[in-house]
Amino acid sequence: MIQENPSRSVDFPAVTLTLCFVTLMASTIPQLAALLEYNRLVILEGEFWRLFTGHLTHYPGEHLWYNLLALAVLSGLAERYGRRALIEILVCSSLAIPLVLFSFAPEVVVYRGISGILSGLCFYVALRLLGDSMASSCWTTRLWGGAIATGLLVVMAVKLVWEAQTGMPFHDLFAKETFQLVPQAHLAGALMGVAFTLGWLPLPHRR
Amino acid sequence: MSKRKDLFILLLVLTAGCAMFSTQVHRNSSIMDYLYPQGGKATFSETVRLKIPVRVGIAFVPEARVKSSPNPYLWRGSSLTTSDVLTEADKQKLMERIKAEFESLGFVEEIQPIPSGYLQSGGGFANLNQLKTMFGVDLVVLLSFDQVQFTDPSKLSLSYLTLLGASLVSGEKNETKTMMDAVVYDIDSQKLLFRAPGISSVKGRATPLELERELREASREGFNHATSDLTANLKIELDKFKEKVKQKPETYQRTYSPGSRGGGATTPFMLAIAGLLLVLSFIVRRSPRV
Repeated sequence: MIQENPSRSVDFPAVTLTLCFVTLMASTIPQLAALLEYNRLVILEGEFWRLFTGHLTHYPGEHLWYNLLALAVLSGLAERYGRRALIEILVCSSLAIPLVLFSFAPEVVVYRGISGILSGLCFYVALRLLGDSMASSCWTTRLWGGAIATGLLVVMAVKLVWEAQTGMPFHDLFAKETFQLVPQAHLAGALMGVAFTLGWLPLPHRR
Repeated sequence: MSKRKDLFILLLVLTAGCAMFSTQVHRNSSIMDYLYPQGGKATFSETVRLKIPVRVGIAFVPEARVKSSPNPYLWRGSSLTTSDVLTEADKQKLMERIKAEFESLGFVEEIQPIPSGYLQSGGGFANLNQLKTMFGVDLVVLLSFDQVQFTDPSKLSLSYLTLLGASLVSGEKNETKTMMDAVVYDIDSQKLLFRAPGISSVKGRATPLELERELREASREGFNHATSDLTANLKIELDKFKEKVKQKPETYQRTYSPGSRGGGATTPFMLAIAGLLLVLSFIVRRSPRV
């Protein structure tokens, strides 16, 4: 697992705020959303930037607001562990997720949403908190912190398996929405989050 | 003696006759006869709504009756009907080859070969609408063909005056010219989206005794070669069509079915997890480290 000096942690979440602002703009300006969304057909015609910008776009309504709120919390927490780590995990996830979609979900023509990246951030933060809990000198923090972090990791893993098995969200909030949940995106994001945290990714500065 | 002589002369005339006449067999199916049996003006909507991902059906339009030049000799092959040379199984194989080209299109969800039995002669767009409901297709690739087989005697045909010559000498020259045509229609708008042709010419020689088999094989070979040519042309036309869809979004409106729109959604459940992580982070940070 990555061990960073806590003194290097950041207090002002500049990356998180920028990301939230860009996501808000990309999702609320329809022309911008149409230009940036993941669209398999247009990507095949050469608009490759959509592979990476699709995460920033959202469908109007709850889809945007829930994702934005989760992004602010999870990205903010991740940024406290280091800006560079956050940027790396964002880049790795935003590369991996569309490639997985392109290869394993050809039926998905249009894709919007940052929740795949959020899955990765969720695992990253939970694993880092588990490590911090275990590093605490206070036994209650070790016990309860470790138990809660482990419990959340298990619950998130169960959620991913549930989604992969059923193709339905864990909580059926989006039944009225006109889009399908894409479990592959969450799975790919989560795997990237775990792989990054455990140091399995061959990033240049880690060699 | 005179009776036997007459019989010999008659046999000679008949045998020589078969060596002297050329024959022609014409098999075809027509898109126009199928879609516009009463003639009239083609009407269609200028705007095509492509429901992405698109579902495509492929079908051979019903054949017309085989036309052949007058020929009393069965071994000339004129007795072969279209179903003798192009069976339903052959059609399925040809349609599978064409299907492979459409699979390369990113926006096609499913391509279904439709058996000939579902297409009524002169059925028109009413029949296509039935197919749309039955097979759930939005676009249809209609395949038609035109095949002519010519059989001409060569100088070697004179050897047919002997029984040995008729069974051993390949004096019957034959040529099979085939044209296949694929037209792609949007069923709702009744608009022709694009078309691609495929042609072939097969030449051969045969003895009179083997002529029917030879013509049957030449006919199948003709269809196969024409399909190869058609698929190559189809690839070009498909690329052109993709470009056209891109350049004329007002004419070719792409609409997405709910199943093709995906999203990564955060549920309140995930928000609760994020909240718990936030709380845990506060607790852990306030705790002294080893």
